[in-house]
Amino acid sequence: MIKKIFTSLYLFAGLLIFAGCGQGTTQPTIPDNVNDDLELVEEETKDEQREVVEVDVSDPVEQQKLPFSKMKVHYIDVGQADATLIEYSQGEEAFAVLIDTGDWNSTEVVSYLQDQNITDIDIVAVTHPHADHIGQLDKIINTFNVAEVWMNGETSESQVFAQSLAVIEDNNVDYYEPEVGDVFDIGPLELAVLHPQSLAGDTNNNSLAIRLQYGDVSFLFTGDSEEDAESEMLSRGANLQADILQVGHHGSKTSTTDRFLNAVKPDIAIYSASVDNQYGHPHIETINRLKKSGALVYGTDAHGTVIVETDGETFNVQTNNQGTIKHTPPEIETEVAPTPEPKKEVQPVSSGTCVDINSASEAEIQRIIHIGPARSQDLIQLRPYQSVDDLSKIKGIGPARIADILAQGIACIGG
Amino acid sequence: MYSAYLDRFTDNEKALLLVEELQKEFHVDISTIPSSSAPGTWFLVEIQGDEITSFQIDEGKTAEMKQEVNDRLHRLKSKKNSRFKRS
Repeated sequence: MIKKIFTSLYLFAGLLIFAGCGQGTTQPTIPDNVNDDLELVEEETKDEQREVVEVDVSDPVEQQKLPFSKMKVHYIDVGQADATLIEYSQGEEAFAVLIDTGDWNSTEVVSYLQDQNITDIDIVAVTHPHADHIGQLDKIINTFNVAEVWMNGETSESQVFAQSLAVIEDNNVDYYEPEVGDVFDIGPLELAVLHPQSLAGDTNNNSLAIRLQYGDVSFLFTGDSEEDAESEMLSRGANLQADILQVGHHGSKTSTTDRFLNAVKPDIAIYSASVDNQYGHPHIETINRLKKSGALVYGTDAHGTVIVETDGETFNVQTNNQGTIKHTPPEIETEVAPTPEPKKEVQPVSSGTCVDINSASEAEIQRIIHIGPARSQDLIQLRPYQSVDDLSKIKGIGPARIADILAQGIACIGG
Repeated sequence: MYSAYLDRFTDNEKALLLVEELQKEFHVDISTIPSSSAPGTWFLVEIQGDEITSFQIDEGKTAEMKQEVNDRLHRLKSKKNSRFKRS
């Protein structure tokens, strides 16, 4: 493994490359060494430094032979709405696919696509007709050269929906309603449709679910699907495995069940939600389920636009902001905010005092190396510990990290 | 009076209304909207500040929009096509 750490003025604060975890349902769990790198990034993002950590786990010679060009999947920061841009090329041909189109009373998606120099879009897939998903479809069709639009076949009587249909029709854009089992080849990208079988559910549970396969790397999108839709997909035996999961319904507790996560086995989970939204998204229950599953969680509220870049074999995650995901609903978070002093939590090594791993507060235990905000709750849940070595019970803490923790010397048992 | 559209009920038990003319959304308690309304219903509403103070179901607009959308979707569905579908 080659490890390069350097400081730069890059816009993006964190960058991390994973080994692609393969196709099918036999994806291995992330090895300890990759987890080490995950934590490294987590720690970097806590610092107010613009550092880029790059971990290259693949053989550079082999990389040159790969037939896949770089693909970028942009989980665009569109507030309390969804929009994901997938862009890649094959030879001279550029491809762009957009899944959902942001909120209705905004132009953020249009601006973002323009900033990315997008001119042509092969497919715009709208997961369902709620205004926070179909929002800017009409503006997008009016601004870019859109080849085809997908919907789930459900209607809405909203102005934004009616206007979208009018613009599709007036511009002679192809219209399609993909069905479960359909597979599409958009250049080198394979796209499978997993849901809905019928429109028997409510609007959220009728969301289109789409799985992308790009070489060895897979992505899953389920719109606002909730438990009912997830159960249906599981009972149909759909291949849900995905390295990167877009968390359903903005991180609502009504989605992302343990059973569903067991089938997806994501390394990375990304939700889209606005800061201090009305719904308390993402719900703490969902974040906890994701953490328990071993996924590294990103959110557009905390991290801004999140970009996953892949060559079909490895992938890396770039974030716009150095965010920390809130683990409580916004209103409670606001009330308790004055008590902890986050800046002090990240003090490095030399503070001196012993941190009792059986009694220290969540803030205190984050002074321990490798214990960031994402892992401190796990540490508390797994109490009590007989020795510092017992911290290996925490997911992602392997022997290498235990050695670092012992070397740091501030973690202790008892008074 | 403004036209308002009930886009969805949310997972925190509110009704989300869109008011195109103001480009604004309003979250209201489900109990405050007429009991016969459902997602897809259009209303005439009065707005004071950031609050909707009265609701009246606009059956005419609801039916008109439903008809327009169904007609358009019917035409689009009749020639649906994807150039990317694996045959």
